[in-house]
Amino acid sequence: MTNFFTHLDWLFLGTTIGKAVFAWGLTLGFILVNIFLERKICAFIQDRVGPNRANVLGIRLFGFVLNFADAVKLLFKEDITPPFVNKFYYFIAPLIIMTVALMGMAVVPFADDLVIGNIVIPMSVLDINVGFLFILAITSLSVYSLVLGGFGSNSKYPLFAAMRSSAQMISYEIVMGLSLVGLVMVFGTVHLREMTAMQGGLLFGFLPKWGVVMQPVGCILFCIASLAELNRTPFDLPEGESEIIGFHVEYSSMKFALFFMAEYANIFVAAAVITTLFFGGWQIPWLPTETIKENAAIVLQITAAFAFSGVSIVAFLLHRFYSKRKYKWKDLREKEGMLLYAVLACIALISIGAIVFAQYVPFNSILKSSLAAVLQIGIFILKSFLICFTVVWIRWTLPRLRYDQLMALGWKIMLPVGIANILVTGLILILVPGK
Amino acid sequence: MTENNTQAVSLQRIVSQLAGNDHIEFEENCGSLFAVVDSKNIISLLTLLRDTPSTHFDMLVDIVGIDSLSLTPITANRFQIVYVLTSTDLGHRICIKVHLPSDTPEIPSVSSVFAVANWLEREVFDQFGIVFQGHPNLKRLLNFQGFAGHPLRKDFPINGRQAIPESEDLLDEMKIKLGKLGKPIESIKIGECGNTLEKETSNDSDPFIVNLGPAHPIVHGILRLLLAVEGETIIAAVPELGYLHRGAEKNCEAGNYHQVIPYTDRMNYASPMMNNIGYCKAVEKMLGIIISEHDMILRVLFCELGRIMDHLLCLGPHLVDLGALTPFWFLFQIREKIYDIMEKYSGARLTYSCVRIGSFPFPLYEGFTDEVESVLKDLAGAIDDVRRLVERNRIFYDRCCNVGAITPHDAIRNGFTGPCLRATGLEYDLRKNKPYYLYETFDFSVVVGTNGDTYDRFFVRVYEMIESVKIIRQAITRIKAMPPDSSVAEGAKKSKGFKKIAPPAGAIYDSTEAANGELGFFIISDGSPKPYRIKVRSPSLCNYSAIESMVEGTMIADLVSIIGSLNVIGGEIDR
Repeated sequence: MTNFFTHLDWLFLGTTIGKAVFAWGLTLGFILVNIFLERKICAFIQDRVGPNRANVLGIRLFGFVLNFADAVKLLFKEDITPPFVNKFYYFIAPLIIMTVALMGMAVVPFADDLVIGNIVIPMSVLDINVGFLFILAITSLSVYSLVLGGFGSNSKYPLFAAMRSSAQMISYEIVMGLSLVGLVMVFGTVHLREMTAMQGGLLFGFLPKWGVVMQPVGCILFCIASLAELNRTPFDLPEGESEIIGFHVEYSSMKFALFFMAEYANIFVAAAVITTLFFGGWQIPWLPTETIKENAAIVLQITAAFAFSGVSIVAFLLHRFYSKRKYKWKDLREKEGMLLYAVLACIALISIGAIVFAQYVPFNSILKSSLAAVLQIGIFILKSFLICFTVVWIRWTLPRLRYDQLMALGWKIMLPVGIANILVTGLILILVPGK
Repeated sequence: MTENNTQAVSLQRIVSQLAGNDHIEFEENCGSLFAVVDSKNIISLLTLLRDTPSTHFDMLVDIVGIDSLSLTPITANRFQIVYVLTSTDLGHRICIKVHLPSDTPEIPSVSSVFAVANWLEREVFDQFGIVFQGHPNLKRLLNFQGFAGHPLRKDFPINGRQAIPESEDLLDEMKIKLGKLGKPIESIKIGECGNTLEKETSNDSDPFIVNLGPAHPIVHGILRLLLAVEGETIIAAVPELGYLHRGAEKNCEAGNYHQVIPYTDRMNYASPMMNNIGYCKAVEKMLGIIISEHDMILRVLFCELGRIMDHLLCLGPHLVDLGALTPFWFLFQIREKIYDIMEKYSGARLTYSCVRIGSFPFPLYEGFTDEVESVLKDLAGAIDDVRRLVERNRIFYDRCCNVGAITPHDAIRNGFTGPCLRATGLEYDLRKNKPYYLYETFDFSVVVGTNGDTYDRFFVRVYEMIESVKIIRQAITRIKAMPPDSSVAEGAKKSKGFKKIAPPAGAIYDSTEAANGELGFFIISDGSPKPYRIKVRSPSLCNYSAIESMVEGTMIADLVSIIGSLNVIGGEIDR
């Protein structure tokens, strides 16, 4: 026993747990963000207002609070298990999909290695060299949830959905794998940390060496295949609301909520993976980690200046928003504006403080590393957020494909293009030396 | 009028020549030509009328059953059937009347001559108990199978409602269909779960039987289809109607002529004003009233507003069925604005009942035309947005092109009218072919498609809205040019005098071009203030009648698209 504890790497254990909590927190947090985005963006696209009523003590946060109302509703709803279901499959399906959704983030690096003294902490939960193969393996498990959920419900429409989802997800996994082969050929690794580090380089001296620049076709294929794996419009056939109602027809309460949450968690995971593979991950373009560390004070000041001006713009917009609205005397909603202004003022004060701090206090190595890590995590989240935004945007723009068209797109168009992409990439790698 | 008369006389001559030895009596009633023939030769006569180039009655518009129990002094011939025939290219119309004996009301089925007769005859069988010999599937259409009695017979009590003991499983029809396909299924039974049909034996080659509807997101209104599928391909479909059957035609017989107007609202609730106007037009024709020019143009305006509302209701949900939710909102905002205008005018948002026989109940309110014009401007923007979203969208194109295509020949045989017929490329529009309400003085064109598929049906509706906008703009300028207090107010006063109207005894078939096709009213008057019989020719019923042949062989996702594009209105089918 003593042997075990003495040989246990406490630092490794501690940091891994810390990172795992962070990654899970991020995924779970993004469920809320994605649902909020879905509601507000679709309202914006459709010329509507969107949710704006649910509030806690008058605080609505533009409909974000509705998420909590939803959670409470789903938790306290009656949990109905229909008498005709196969209980084991029926219960295990929502568990599988949520587990898989939470495991996807394990290998994604969200910042450059944190160097403190002579300790190097890789900023991904698992720093394993199978890289994205792990993600492909894990996400392919999620099809079991849909199939078991549809099949275990022992009902006709969910069975259609199970059939559709199994065919769809297996077909698009192949395309997904193929689209990444070109990337592996270019970067020469499947390790996500190395891959992201390589994307910091410059092509022709000015273009960031992101995956999307090196492998544009691969990027498009991978994004489409991810959409199909996510079961989002135009590939939402397993749900197919107007046709077969969906694989979760027989589910209610929290079991349904798990499916629902897993969808949004999966969007974030897919966005994080797409960011990492094709959009430079945590890389800030033209600003490698060394540069940040060397010019820590200036970088912090510029960031703080950006934050300050951002806050000012937001405050101005908020003022316009609230000045239009006239509430009755003692309406709780009056306080919402004050709260938001207070938060903004805090951020403004902190950014001013940071500018002053950077001017007068010398930076040590820990501060420099943390600054780089924080900035990189920030940029990583921002990129993922933008991809989540795009996914939601696509849903409210396009109609749904038909089952045979989906198969034709996967097998007759995307698969040959994927293979051609590999051949072309190989030719370029041979013909253009010195890459 | 004289032109009509000469037309009718020449038609009479041709028809009597065709009939040869058989004696045919002709009656002319309020502009409708009736030919009374013998029931035995009905198949050969209708075939002859259909195939002779000089008559070319290629469309069976409606079959009307009549129970003349209290209409005429007691005779041996209690029942009558009227076949309303029309010619899509020559533009004439004839009603073939057949007398049937009271004790054995039987007549040969004409479903081999006109495909649409299949359902129309089933309806007559259902409502009157008239047996059609040789009909392929003579079951009740609107009432449930265990219903006792025939509701539209005059001796059936108006409050004779019956409770439905259990739902119909439709397996009898399905078994016949699958047997024809060479895939007989013997051991289908109702599963434990009540509504789920489960097979006892698990033979892999057996088709999967699934119920679509009556409550399913795509069935606008309440329809039901029992499907046999292999994978996602539908191999056999059995439709069931009647979930919204309220016996409107029976109810109409209980009130006076004005009290019928609210019932017409509830038939096609997507464009109620068009139904009101269609009904009032028929009664006015019967009474010989010619309404003022101002009222005519106002009715044109309301009809076209109704057409726009109906098309918006078709296009938006059709796109939702295809998975595109956004265009729905763009379109429905406009519909909402039209609702606001109509509410301001009539006081109701959905069921206006705001037309009176002879006129309108209220004059237009201040600023009506300006509001309509602003809506038209918004509508143009919305149509533009939606077209940009779908017109060149590859997914939409693939989902709709060559889906549910129907040839002009089949479409006519199935009694298709309106946008669904025009999508096949046939230029048949009552507004042009049989102009009413000064439509001939308006400048607009008839929109036609090429393939008769879902894509064409969709865009025929889109471009028809643009044409309607043109008509409304012209109507507004003409109304503005008229003296402001010209006639509606007077007409409203006058229409109060029409409360106790009693048209002279006789029958009339009159139709208008409603949003979904030819909306006809067959009215029989016995001279009393209550209508003796009102039969509504609902365009949706005929447009839906080809559903089996359209969906068989396609996929479930196509079925969604087909039903959406046919725009079947449950209230209008079931009445």
